Formats: sequence, C-alpha cells, structure tokens
Amino acid sequence: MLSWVKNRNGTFDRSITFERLMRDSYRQAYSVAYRLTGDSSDAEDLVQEAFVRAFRFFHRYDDKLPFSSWMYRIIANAHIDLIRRKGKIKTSSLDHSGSDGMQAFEIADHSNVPGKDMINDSFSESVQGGLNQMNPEFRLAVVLADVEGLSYEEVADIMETSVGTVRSRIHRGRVQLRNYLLKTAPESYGRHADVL
Amino acid sequence: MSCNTSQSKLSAYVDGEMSGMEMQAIRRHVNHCPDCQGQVNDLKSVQMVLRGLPSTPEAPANLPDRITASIKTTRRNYLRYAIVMAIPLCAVAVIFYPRSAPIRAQDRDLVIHRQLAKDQLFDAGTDSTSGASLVHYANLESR
Ligand SMILES: [Zn+2]
Repeated sequence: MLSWVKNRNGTFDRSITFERLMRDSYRQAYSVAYRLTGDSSDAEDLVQEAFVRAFRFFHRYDDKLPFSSWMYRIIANAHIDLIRRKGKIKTSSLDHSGSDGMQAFEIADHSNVPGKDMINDSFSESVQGGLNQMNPEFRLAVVLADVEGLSYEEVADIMETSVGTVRSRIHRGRVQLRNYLLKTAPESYGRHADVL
Repeated sequence: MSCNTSQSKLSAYVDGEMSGMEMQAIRRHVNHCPDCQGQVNDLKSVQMVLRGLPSTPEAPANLPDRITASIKTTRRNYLRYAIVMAIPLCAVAVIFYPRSAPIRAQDRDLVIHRQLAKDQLFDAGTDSTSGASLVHYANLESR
C-alpha cells in the first residue's frame, strides 16, 4: 500500500486512488509497453518507470482524460526517453549485444500463449520486428489504433497532436510495416493479403 | 501513382475515420482507380495482421507490488538526496557564519552598556525587558 504517504493536501486519499487505478490498469499498460518495446523485461521496466512518473505528477492528472489514456501518454514519453538512453548505451558498449540477443531469443519463445489467434508465432514475431523497426511516433499511433482499437481522436489526445497528424502517422506506420513484412516474411504476409 | 488522392486519406477511409460524404467520395474514386484499390487492400491486410496479433504475454502478477515498492524507493531516495544535499550546506553555513558576522569590539561595548542599563533599570524597580514597573507584577502575584 502507498497509504504511508500523507500530507495536508490530501495526498493520503490520492495515493489510495492512484494505487487502485494502477492495479486496474497495469495489465493494459504492460500490453502496450510490450508492443512498443517488443521485449517483456523492457516492457516491465517501462511500465514501472511510467507509473513512478505518473505518481509523481498525479496532482496534474485531469480526469477528463481516461486514466488509461493518460498512462499511455506517460508510457510513450518514457519510451522515447528509454530509446534515447539505449541509443547512447549501444554506441558506447558493443559487448552487450550478445547477452541481449540471448534474452530476445528466450522471450520471443512464448509458445504457451493461448491460441485463439489468427497469426502463428513466427509471423507474429515478424510483425513485432516490423513494429520495432518503425519510427517511434508511427509505432505508437499504429499500436494504439490497430492493436488497442482506439479512435483517431483518442490517439490524438494521447499524443497531444491533431487528428490530421494521427491520420498521417498511422498511414505511414502501416506502409512501413507492409514494406517490412514484404521483405522479411513475404509468404506469410502474402497469405494474409490473399484472404481479402 | 497516377492519381492525386492523398494517401493518408486511404488509411482514414479503411478505418471509417471520415465523414459519410467523404467516405462516399473516396469509395466512388477507389472503385475506378486500380492504384488506390491496391493501396486500400494493402492497408486492410496490414490492419488485419495487427488486429490478429496474439495477445502479449501476461504481465507478471507481482508487477503492481514492484511498482509500489519502486515509488516508495524513489520517494525515499528524494528524501535522502535532500538530506545529503543539506549536510554540506549546513556545514558551509556553520563554517562561514562566524566569519561573515564577526562581533566587532565596538558592538561588544554596546552590548555591555545595554546590559548595565538593564541592571540599573531592574535596581530601580522596573522590568528591564518589557519596561513595565515591577510593582505591576507584584500586584498581579498578590491577587
Ligand atoms: Zn486513385
């Protein structure tokens, strides 16, 4: 419990509220974080970091926006910071790539995921690979709209931009993903395209 | 691409994210433009692929507890940081305070003179701090 926090501004109630919202939304947050990072341990770190930030700025949260949307926004910002930090690490130490590769291999093998799904594991890895390659802004827009099923307006609220910009990001993200799949998994992608 | 239809409009069309009038106009165009038709089919396949993705692995059940612990640690670290930053500040203040406000001999004389004056007032039956007559206090006590 976070109820140990108490001060004159009613932080006591706020931390109880926050904890309830966090426990209600962490699964959804994790799912988006997983799609953004493509890795379960990165997703955990991202979710943790995002909720720590959210708690710090919870006094600024305006409940006109659904809490999950506010969290998506924080996750997106934290993710951009994570990419920047990782970019710096990568250029400074190359000897890390071996262990990272192992980890990615182990995590990619989630064959025990229940299978009501239309897509097999190896193709879904390709799709995730395509998401990972995408420009982060396109990726966020595509994940929110196509994976989470949000409307353009909701995505625009989360990304603090116009519906027109969202439309263009989603479109460009989809085109990037299509090109990636045509290059890396043409047969599987072709089978999906043929269904139409 | 031979036609000048805005490409991102086709994504919005696929998503139904435009007005009914616009939808109709695009549909009419797409039916007669093979390029746009191909593009629309491509966008639909990508969308289907994304919608058909298997659910991500479950978040670990202990994640909320770890988040709570992490928030607490962060707060504690802020406090520790504040204290750690405050220690050298206090030390600096302690070291520099006497030097920044040295008591000059002149001031010391003044203090002694004031004390003497107070003692004289006390002798004369007056409270040297408030200036009230001690007789007043004596009256209060005898009530
Ligand atoms: Zn056309």
